[in-house]
Amino acid sequence: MLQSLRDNTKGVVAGILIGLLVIIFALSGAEALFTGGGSPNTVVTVNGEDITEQEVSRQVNMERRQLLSRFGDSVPDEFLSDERLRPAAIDTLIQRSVLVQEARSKGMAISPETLDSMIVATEEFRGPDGRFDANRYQQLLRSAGFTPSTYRRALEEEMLINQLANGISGSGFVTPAELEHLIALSYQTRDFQYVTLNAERVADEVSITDEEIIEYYENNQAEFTQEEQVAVDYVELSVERLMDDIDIPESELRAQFKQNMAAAEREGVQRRAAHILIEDGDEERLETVASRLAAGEDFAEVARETSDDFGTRNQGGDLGFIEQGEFPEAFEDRLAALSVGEVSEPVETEYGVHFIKLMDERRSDPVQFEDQRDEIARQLKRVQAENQFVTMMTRLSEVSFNAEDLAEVEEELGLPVQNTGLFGRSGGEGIAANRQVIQAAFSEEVLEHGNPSDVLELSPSRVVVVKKTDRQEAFVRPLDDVREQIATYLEEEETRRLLTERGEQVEEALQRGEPVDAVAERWNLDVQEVQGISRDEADLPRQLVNHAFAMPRPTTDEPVVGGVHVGLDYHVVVLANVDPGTLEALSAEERDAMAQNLRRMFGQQDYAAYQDMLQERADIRRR
Amino acid sequence: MSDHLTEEEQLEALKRWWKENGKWVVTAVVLSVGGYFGWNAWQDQRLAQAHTASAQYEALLDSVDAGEPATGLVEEIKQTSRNSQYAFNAAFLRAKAAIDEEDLETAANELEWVLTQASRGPVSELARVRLARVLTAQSAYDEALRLLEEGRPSESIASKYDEARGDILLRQGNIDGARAAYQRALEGLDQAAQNRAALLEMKLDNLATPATAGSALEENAS
Repeated sequence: MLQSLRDNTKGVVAGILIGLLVIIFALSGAEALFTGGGSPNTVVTVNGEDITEQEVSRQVNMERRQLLSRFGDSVPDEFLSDERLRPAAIDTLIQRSVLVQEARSKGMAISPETLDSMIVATEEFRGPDGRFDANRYQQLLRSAGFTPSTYRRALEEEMLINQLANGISGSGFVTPAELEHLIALSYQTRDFQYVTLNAERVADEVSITDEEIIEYYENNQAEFTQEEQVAVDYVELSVERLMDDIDIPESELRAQFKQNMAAAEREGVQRRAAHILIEDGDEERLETVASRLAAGEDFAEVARETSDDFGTRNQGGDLGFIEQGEFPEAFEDRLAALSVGEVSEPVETEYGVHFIKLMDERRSDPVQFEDQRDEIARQLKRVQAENQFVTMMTRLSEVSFNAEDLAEVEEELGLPVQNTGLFGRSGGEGIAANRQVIQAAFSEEVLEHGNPSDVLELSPSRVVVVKKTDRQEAFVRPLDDVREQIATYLEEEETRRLLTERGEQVEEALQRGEPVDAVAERWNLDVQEVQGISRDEADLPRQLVNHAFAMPRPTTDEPVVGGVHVGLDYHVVVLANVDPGTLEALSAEERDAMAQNLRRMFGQQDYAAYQDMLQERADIRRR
Repeated sequence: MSDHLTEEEQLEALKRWWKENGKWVVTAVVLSVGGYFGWNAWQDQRLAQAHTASAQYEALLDSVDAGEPATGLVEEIKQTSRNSQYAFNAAFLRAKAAIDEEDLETAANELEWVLTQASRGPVSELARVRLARVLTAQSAYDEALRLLEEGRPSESIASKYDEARGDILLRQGNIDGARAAYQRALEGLDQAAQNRAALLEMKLDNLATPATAGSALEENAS
């Protein structure tokens, strides 16, 4: 009895709990409880937030475009490859994700209105009239792989990061004490004397015997090893090259031109449209708009007051001249059927319900054949060449697969055989610099078995087949080839050693307190005396100045002496005096510039440390 | 088992149970539903607050760009959302502006404020080392050192702490201590931070003695 009662009550409690869960689900949507983590598309999760494959590829594309716009076509293809760009793109996305999450969790947010006004104010989205152009906006977004909502999100994140960075990096400061300290150090000057022992001094004593050369050669074989090299024949098939051999008869060009003109005639009508958008398609609102328009109210006025398209409503709904295919079909079809000045009944598209007005129509100017001739010829050639390319590529693959020799391929397909000359695994010149060609040339199939390679697709319109013609195993270059090189090296080493030895004798004498002049006379050296040398002194060798600035400051009695090599020469420095830089020695402008630089630098360093701290704490899981 | 219970008995049991627990169940339901709506309302309010602070903060950045101190805006932001990053950043920016005017007192107060408001984390660690630097400029060396000793900094900012410590020890005349601190700061440095390495090396070289100079000189020679 008791037991069964307990069972029953459990059932009741469970029922109530489930009822509660149902309420919560109904209010918030069940999916909210089950999302996050583990979708097959996920590349990395950052604190449980997914970074998807789409985001990564968008970032890769963005970075590729940036590289291209900065360096133009001179960027080698391999620098633009996905494999090359991907890791950095992922790091960037992780970094962004960490920052955005931190910003949000610390109460930062960007309001939708702010985003709207940012978008409207963006230079790139403006039409020729200098006002926001909704078409242009949509077009640019699409070409960058965004939808309006993903773009808004990206923009929001960008602004959040910006707000975060501005506060932390922009609040970098330098205290008066620090400024004084750093000025004292950077504008410090030093007075010193130095003597130079140069190579001529020991030239007579340096002589390298053949035995020494041979010994060095035998002990350092690795240094003289020539890596394995290979030379290949190759035939190249490319659309560009095929185009060179194609001739299009004049008559065909003219025919094509006529055809283009006819098409232009059909499509060439450009229409300028205005619209009022009611996003939710609410009956009452549609009714209001319809009746106001029917009453003869100004379309622009009604647009301003009722349209949901924030981008155009302040321009009376004006969308400008639109290209075909830019807007949903229903929209364009209805527009095409309007006469100038006419307003349509409500038209439904994926964006909502539109009232469309045809503002203006224009036909493009007639084009002259001569202006178009080259372009048409190029297009026709390309079409033909592309067709040939496809068939020839299949033939190339068949013929080369069984070919004893690429000359057979030349005969069959009329493609010239060329040779790369020897190159190593780090590549050679021309086509031998291409990563794919190098890999193929050193593959087992080509290198060991001597077969032609597969058809290598260097780009979608360019392929190549390679076959080994020569192979040179790695070998140690013969002594006679490198004798001179070794001799020079050993001579220099010996010179340095001897000069250091002499220099150290000089140093010791000076250290003992002997006057510089006396020491110089004994060894027949010239004493150079320099004063007020700053860190960036350009008239003295860099290593010499750096050396003088790294020496301990002189105390009362003991001289500070040190030697340093510059090239082959050996310098012995006697430091006499250190003068700190002073605030007064700088002009107000110099001081301000230095303070400004330090502020910026410290701010950037603080922000970098801040980002690293966030990453240190983040839970980052790569899938 | 339940087979032995008549329907009446079952109903009776349920009634009894409801009498005992009904109050709690009703309270729980009311609380959860109320809590849910309350939470939503609170979230909305927070978001609205964040949007206001965001706009104020943008205005602050604009006036900072224009070189105005904008003290009023800073206070407003701190009022609107005192625990948000907007408030911390506003205080950071105010501190920076104050230091530019050599008003170390105000700067120290602002940084102190961040330190008390922010929970432990990157922001407070940054505020701490910045405050220590300002205290150093005010010659409050012991206080600055004590501040740096409170808790161990994250790896990513440890080098900044060591440099600040070196600056303090140098001013206290503890050359050996300063040298050791700078040395640690240099060792803890990211390879990429070349600017910082150059400054630290300069500070370090300047403290060279014949004993410590050896390594630096050899490096130069090679």
